[in-house]
Amino acid sequence: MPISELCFFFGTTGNQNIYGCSYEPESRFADSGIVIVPPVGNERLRCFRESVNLARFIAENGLPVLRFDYRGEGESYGNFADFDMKTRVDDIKSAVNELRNRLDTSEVILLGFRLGALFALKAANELNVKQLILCEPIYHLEKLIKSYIRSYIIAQRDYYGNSSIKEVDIWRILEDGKSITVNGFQITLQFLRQLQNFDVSAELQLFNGNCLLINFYKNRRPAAPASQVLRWCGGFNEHAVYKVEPVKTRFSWTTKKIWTPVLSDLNDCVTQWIKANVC
Amino acid sequence: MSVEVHKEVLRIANREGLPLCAIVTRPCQHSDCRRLIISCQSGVVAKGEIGDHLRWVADQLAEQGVTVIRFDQHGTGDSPGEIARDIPIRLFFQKVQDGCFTDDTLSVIDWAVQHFPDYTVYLLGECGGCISALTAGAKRVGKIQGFILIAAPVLRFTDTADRKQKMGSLDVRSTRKQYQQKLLSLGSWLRLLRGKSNFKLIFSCMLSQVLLFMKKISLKILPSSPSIPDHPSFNMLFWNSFQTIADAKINICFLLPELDNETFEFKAEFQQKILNRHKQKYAACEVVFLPGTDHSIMFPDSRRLVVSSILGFIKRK
Repeated sequence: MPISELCFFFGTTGNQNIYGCSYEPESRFADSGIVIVPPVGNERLRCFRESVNLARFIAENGLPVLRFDYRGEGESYGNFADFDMKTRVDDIKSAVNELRNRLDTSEVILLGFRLGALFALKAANELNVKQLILCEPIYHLEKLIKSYIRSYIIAQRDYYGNSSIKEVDIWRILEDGKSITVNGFQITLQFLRQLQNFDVSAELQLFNGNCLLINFYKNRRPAAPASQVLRWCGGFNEHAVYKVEPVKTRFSWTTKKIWTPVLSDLNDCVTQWIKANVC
Repeated sequence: MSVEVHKEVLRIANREGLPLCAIVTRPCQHSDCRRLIISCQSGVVAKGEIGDHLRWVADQLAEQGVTVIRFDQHGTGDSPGEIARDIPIRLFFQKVQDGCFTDDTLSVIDWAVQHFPDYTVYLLGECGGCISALTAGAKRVGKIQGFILIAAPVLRFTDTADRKQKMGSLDVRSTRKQYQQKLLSLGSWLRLLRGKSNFKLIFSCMLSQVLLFMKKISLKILPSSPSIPDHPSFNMLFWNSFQTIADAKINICFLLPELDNETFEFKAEFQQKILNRHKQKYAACEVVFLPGTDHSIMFPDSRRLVVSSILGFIKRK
């Protein structure tokens, strides 16, 4: 089905414009639309083309989609260090409004990747959104924070030969009000503290809608969800309905050894779930 | 004095009629500076590049009165089309180095020249974008005032992975520094004596260091002054386009990040063998070294340095 694609800026307040792209099908099978909530920083860039093609695929199958960049990232206005978790959740809300107004949809599905999946969960609770797709959500925020610190240490070692810097030194730098560069993005103490204090369990408990949880695997399809996934899902509200779906892909969040602009299995999985749960 | 900037999203049709996504960033207020930079990304991500640094650079340039156009080539970013699917990334880089984005860049140049008729146009390239800028610019020499090429790759990715099995010069230097620091560490010595060190890395580093040293010596004592690059993997598309532009005496500024394997290759195979030995012929070329800067221009100081280098070049030329 042909689709109509448009990229534009939409406003929040003053000059703080958000960059977004809409994908509108010629005809729709439901009065719903999807907002794709991206990961943060380097991971957003890592799955950029994949998420563009996912948006196109969903639209070609009959549902309008809006993708956007958080303020401070991508083509949206502002500097990365000036925005945090709270502003990103606000941006999701702006994107939801934009989807409703621009593409004339009443029901919204949030589809979040990685950290974007957690922000999507929070935004879903605040906006009373009942359909959620969480793709490779961050199950351990502390591990993510440690990976940011580790990236900075590795960069210091590889580029400046500074192999004596330790994690405690990084926290000291952050507490002095400076930011650290992680893959080109300025991570601040405020952002890390918000991640540390983010109560995922509380958000899971609040959500009482319908959720698809997608996890990638490379070789053999797992016989059962990993224990961390089951523990996570155990936090869902008793009225929530969730499905855990493994998706095979050669895609990796950390290295780009293969050019994979289209994740066919992911696209199929998402579209099938939407058709089964939204009509 | 910096000014506010305005951004506009555009679609520019390429030769196949695909509407490439582009963003024009321009100063809000009227500026006497009628300079336009067309920014060519490597193609791996999108028009903002890794770490969004080209977006940041464009914003800073626009605050100084320069208009910047950034675009996604077909199959990348928000543009339609497809280049390839599920291929090793080095083969993707090879396609870029073989000029797969030349036509898209030509379409953007032609659009820019038509819509900004009294502007001076420059091409900015980053990594693989340097190839796109050079190959397209070589076909439009009369329209381009100058080229700014950041981290230009001169050696072509080969069909096999063997180029990447060797350690890059930056990696050798970094590894050597780390092990030099470990010389004073008792723990490191104990690990070595117990056979727990990474011997593969150590020997690889030592071998690469010896090869680099021999290469340096050979460049000094062997009186070769080739008129064309002689490395078997040298990208001849880069060379032929560069020749066309150099013959037209168009200004080119090569910005070389210090902390980049590509820089060592550029210096050894192009700057020392060709540019430095034919200075009169290539008088319109300048090479600017960016200290403390990596290939992806990750760090804030590096980005500021890139912006000031670009502004300095376009003001001089």
